[in-house]
Amino acid sequence: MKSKKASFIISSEMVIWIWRFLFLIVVSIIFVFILSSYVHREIKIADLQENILITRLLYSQNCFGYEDVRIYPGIIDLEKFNEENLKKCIAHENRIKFKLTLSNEANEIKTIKDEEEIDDLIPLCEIKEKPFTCFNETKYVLIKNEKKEFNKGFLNIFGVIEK
Amino acid sequence: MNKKGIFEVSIYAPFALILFALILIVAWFLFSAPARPTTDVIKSVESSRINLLLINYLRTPVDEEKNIADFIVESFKKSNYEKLGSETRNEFEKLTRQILDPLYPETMCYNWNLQIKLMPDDKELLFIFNKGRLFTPPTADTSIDVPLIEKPSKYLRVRLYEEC
Repeated sequence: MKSKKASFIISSEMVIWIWRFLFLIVVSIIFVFILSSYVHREIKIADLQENILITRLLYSQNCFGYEDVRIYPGIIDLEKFNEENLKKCIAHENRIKFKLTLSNEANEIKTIKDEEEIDDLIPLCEIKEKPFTCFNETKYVLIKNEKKEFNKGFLNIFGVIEK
Repeated sequence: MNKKGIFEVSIYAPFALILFALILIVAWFLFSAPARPTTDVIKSVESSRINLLLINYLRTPVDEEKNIADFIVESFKKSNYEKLGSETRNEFEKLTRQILDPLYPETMCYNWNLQIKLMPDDKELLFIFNKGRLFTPPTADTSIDVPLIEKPSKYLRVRLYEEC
């Protein structure tokens, strides 16, 4: 049987340990809060991704960029501007769909898309909560035609990136 | 510390550390989820867009022989590197607006400024804008120096900047 002295020591030790536990819990919570503010960092790369893809369309020789001995960024070769090239250009990008419209000041010259269903997605871009992001941008380009003439043009790029 | 103290610490310390780790893990699950994440938006390639626009603008053909860059040099050569006459200025402004205005809708980037300076004199020769002259730092800014064959020590600086 425990003596009175022993039970007094145990009970007083328990009271001290309760305070120690409380102190430990408070310190842990503060520690977790400080740490989580550094760890929980959301990086939005949608704009970056969009810009890189558009840049690829305009700069790459595998896409629409005009080339002779070198590539001319921002000059679209009309002969290369077709759906086959678009599909090749974004071959490894399964989550991305494009619709590109090339026009001059007055008329639409050509529209190409990598998938027909992209037209169905255009009205859905207005919805706030959706499983994809949309972008629509117009670029000023020069168009090189079959006669090797350069003309003013605008390239409208509509894209859908699955989240 | 006496021997009894050292003995007690050696018994309790590992358990205290394990307990601390357990409380940390539990606290992490309980309190880390609602913490609002800090959002970083990366827009590092933004500058390439306006660079390409200015390059394309300058190499736009005006007629079969010359592009806008040639037209600028020729026009200022005729005006002896002073401000342009109203006819040439109007022609130049019309050309510029045909290219830049459709790219700057009311939403998003809406204001562009185009400035031509004679350098290194820092003398402004031409200034065109669509909404107004920008006095605040622009969102994107780029310039290209066009050399002058007649005056090798001088050049024309064509600067395009915008507000979004």
